[in-house]
Amino acid sequence: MTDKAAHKTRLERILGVPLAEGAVRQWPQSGELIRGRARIDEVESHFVGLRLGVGRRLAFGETLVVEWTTDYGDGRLYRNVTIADLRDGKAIRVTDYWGEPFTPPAWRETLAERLDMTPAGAWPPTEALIGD
Amino acid sequence: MEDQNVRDAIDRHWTASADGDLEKEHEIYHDAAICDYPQSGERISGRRNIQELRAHHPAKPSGFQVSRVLGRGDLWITEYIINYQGKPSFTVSIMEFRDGKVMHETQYFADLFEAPAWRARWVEQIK
Repeated sequence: MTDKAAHKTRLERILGVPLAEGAVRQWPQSGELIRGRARIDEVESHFVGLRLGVGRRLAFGETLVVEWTTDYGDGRLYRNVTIADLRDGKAIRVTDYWGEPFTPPAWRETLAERLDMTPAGAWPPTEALIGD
Repeated sequence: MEDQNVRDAIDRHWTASADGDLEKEHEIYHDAAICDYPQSGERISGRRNIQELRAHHPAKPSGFQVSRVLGRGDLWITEYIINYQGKPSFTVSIMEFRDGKVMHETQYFADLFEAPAWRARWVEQIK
């Protein structure tokens, strides 16, 4: 297998399944859509030095949902969720939602507990992230 | 519980949520349900506390639109948009059911951001 054939995009590492060559990746928050695996790979290559951790992958039928975490380099942990539509085991359409961290609002502190975030859980802590 | 029954319960839940009918909105939860907000590291335990929290939320939504509901068996995902003061917040709910009621929900909230110019050459606009 050549290096090119072995290459995986970051999105493929997150999803754990290959992208179809014509896969579409969409970002509703910015209204952007990237068409094709090669362009997806190109755009990803501009994010250097980030660290990520895949938390939980949920699959049913032709749908795959991945909860994952990114640190873009400033120490803030984005808790993201990605939904992939599959066909023949490959992702053909992927929708990413970027979950920026926020401070728990004071008004609900009596109703909320602290969510336990363990290295093996759905939301890995900073020390469990790996450079990608 | 048949998938169609779950789907109907989810539709009733979101309709009630859009209508501000708190009691009906929370019928979908098991009494011991938990709701997690990973972005803030918060967990809300118990249907009463989940309902109480939403009853006291200071930001009242001005719009609500379900984009997509996907699921099977005990696992269901909803993508929806809540408008707060005219600004859309893209939201994902992951619901895990037990005995026909939601036992665990995880919610992600994703705000608008401006598409950066550097990647415009590779990107189209979502229609």
